[in-house]
Amino acid sequence: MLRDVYVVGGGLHPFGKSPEASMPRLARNAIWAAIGDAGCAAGEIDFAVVANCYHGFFTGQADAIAPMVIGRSGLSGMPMVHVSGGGASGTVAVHQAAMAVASGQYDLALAVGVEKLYVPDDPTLSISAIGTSGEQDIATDLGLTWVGSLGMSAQTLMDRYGWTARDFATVTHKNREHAVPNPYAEHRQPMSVEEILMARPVAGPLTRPMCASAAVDGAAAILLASEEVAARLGDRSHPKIAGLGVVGGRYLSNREPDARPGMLSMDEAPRAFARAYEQAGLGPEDLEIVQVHDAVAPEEMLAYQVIGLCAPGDEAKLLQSGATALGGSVPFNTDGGLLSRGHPIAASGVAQIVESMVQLRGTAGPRRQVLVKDGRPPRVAAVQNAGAQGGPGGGVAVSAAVIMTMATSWTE
Amino acid sequence: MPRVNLVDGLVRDEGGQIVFLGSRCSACGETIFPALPDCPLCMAPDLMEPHDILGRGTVLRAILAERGQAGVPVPYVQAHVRLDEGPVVYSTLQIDPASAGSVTGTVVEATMAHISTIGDQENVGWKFTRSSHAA
Repeated sequence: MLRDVYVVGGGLHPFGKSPEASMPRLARNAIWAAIGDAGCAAGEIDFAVVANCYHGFFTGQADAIAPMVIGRSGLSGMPMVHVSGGGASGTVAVHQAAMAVASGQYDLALAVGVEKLYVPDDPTLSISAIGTSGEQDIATDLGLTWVGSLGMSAQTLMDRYGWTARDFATVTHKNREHAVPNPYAEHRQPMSVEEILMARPVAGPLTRPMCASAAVDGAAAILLASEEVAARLGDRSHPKIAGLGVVGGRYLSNREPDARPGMLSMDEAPRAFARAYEQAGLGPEDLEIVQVHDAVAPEEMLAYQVIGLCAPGDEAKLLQSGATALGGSVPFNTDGGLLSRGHPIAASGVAQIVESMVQLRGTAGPRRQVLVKDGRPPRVAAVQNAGAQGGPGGGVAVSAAVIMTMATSWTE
Repeated sequence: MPRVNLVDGLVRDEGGQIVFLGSRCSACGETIFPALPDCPLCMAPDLMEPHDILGRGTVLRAILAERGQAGVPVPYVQAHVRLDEGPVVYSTLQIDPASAGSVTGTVVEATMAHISTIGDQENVGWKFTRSSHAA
């Protein structure tokens, strides 16, 4: 990082079914919520990046996504950039906004992730849209689904580590409980482990609740600022982006054994976290709250390993200890995660930053606020996110790790 | 009903035997599919030469899908197949769905088959089925 970057505001449009709202309208709601939260003047925003994957699939509007979203929010006068990268799109937007401020060229950057995936009469269309985040000509047009691909990875890891469908149901139950008090979450009804196990099967060991829904709308926005701008915004401390590791998958020869973690969303995550930890001067033992890419429940379990919180094979033990639930030593997916808060693809990575910001500020509310062992809000948060696939060997396009820290006082 | 070959230019059907149109690096010998001019292992341009890859391999992993892409009849078995020459390809398997849990390691061969029906258009592509010439 060349300059320190602070998260000064965040906002959401509730994740769920919003058939009455257009894609730009979803984004607009999140953007103005973030501006209001930051307490800045909209005209101060000097860089904007919009993450969206599928508006072109549904409407044919392949380009001009960023000016459409920003302009129809009543904003103008800054460069407007469109990014995508499957499930990592939101984090790509966060990365671009952070780099803009860190470079010294911009002082207040907006990152917004927005997706409109819910199709009232045809749920398979949502699945087909998401299929465009993989290579259509050799995979998704031939019938491969993301849940099928992740399910196959999960089966491999069940054989390798002894994970069970009950473990997946435990993750799902935990994240459902986390979503119950979250007014922005898609799924707020609790489900027992048994109900989850008995739900409709989707692919292999995965039942419907163990998979994030494809048919969901939502938007999330954050504002990132230089220290000078942050200092005059709001009478409070602001979380700092202490570490940011964004890497991509390397081609692996098909003549060599594949030693990668075993889930696309966790490939390269150890490298991304190594970078982020080094920048922040911290390690996994310092983490107090974590948001990860649980598009299917087993992904959260593998995240425990690749982030460095347990040894390979001890993921189920960590889960069953309760450490990763609210009230545990390192709660995961405190807003419900992709599974229960929802996964409108390009919005998720930004929503993870919003949740981390709220928790670090200590403003999540009595039913959701994480309090660490001395009764204070957390001071070190991590975000893990990944997405998109392509090329020979089909490596992950973007694997990201973000470490956010909160000073005890603004002058610390 | 119009019939669209989804994999035209990616494979060749030689009287029922599918050949995947891949490439092989003249420097390191890496074989990949689909064909590219540049080697992703050497990360250097213009090293790859066209190379036909027989559509025969082994099921690496498979799963029974109860929900699928538009127009694909469910349930069906999704799989990754390692071709004998190395590259891994995605395929639907033409097998009894009940055997999805026990098909890993099975030798399979590719054929052209129905993939999906979208509106009045039939889409065809490769599917793998148990080999009649298992090693």
